[in-house]
Amino acid sequence: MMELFDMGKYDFFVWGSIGVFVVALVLDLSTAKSSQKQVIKQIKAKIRRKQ
Amino acid sequence: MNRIVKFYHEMGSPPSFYRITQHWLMPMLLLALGLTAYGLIEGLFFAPKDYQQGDSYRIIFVHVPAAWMSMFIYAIIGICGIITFVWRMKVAEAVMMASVPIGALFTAVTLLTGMLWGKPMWGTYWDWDARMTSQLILLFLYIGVAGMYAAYEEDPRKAARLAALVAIIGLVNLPIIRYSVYWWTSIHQTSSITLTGGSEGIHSWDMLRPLLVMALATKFYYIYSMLTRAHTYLLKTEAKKQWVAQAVSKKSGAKP
Amino acid sequence: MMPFWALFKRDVLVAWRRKANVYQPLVFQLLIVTMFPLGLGAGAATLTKIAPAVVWILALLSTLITLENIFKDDYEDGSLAVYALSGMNLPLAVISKAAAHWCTTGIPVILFAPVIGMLLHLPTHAYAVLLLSLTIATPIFSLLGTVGSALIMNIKSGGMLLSVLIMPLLAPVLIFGAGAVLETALSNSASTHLMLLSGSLVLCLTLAPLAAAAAIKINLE
Repeated sequence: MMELFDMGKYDFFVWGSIGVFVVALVLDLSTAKSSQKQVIKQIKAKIRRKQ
Repeated sequence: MNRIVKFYHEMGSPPSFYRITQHWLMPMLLLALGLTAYGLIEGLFFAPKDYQQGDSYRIIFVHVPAAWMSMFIYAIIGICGIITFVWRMKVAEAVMMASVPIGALFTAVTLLTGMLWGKPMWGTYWDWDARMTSQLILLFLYIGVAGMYAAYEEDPRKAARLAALVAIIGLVNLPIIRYSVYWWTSIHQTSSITLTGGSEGIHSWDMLRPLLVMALATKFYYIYSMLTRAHTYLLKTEAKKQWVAQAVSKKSGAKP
Repeated sequence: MMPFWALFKRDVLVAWRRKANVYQPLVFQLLIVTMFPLGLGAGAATLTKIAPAVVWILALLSTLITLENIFKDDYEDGSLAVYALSGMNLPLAVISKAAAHWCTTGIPVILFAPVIGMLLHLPTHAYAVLLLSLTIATPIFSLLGTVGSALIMNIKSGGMLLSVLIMPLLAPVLIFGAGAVLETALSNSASTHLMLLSGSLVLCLTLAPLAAAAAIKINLE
């Protein structure tokens, strides 16, 4: 099993790159989602105040 | 034909854009995740080794799709910028501003993975070669569009039109930058090993397939992320409209 | 054509009365150029090597610090709105603004460049091309400057944003311009660089006024 993850002497660089890619996308996803939640919360609060 | 025209008009109005694209989110995310998983597993574990670069070439499966997306997204920003600027279409505004963060992110990923590939191949993390230099300038273009918008945040319509102008200027400028930077390196530097190895880097279908799958996956992910942000943008800027209240109340999750 | 000259004359006069506008870039260049020998060592060979690039980058940076205010005062005291309302051709007004900026900043920078070159031991045969390349390039700085300045005129401290917006636009100009001086210093022909630089000037002269006028219109809305 372990030899599958073995990238010769390039372990750090290959897995580092994949890590950068995955972290970037997760970061993007979470910021997009959290900002949407925040905006919806604000709008809901505004509607409640009006009622 | 009629249906296409109708669809086109519907996509131009924020409420129907929101309503229609709401249903695209899940399929896009699932496609993106599935294809990424398939592409990465196949690329990392099953694609054959490169005879020159060994396993290090596997960085290509994230590096090149990110690089393609960085330019593709800027093109979309530029086109939406033109539409925003000329026709003041709200949806184009939303798509433009929603594309900026994800585009900048892909540009940064391209630079970082390029550096991680450069170290084992060129012996240095950073080299002022044409591609890395023009990619860095592309990052500045993204920052410029985002910065322009952020500076006028309290007046979103004006901010969007100025950001659109910046995007259009960048779109005109981009070919000039790329051409001049390539020309600059061609006279000052002997050509180094190209990252993709020209036509030789990818020489078998088993290597190409995961690459194309990853390119597709990043496109789907872009659509997902862009739509999510575009929805947020429309909700925020149209907060006083009736359709927003309805859309928000329908949204599952926190109860009113 | 009348309003064009009136505007031009007024801007040159205003800039000239406020002497700081004229000598600020020159003092800036002198200050920075002193840092190079202090940091790099005073060896003439080292300085000669970096001279073409440093002279050029200093000319560019010293112009950059003057750009922020091209439209700011006129916007804040409302005269820009008057130009727009009076039916004046806005792109033409932008060209007039750029011309005035060039006369009060560009020309002093060109004239000062040989002094900087001398301080850094620029090879003697490179001076002609240095002056020529700066003569072509400083109008480009002013024209692109109007675009950047028009975009940020409504922002309180827009200097940083201005640099971010304008740096990608200036990158090709720097490549062609500094390259021309560098090639001459290395005793190569610089004609390709100079031709591309001239081409950039023509392109900026046609497109920059339109872009700046568009930005002004949005800001005045």
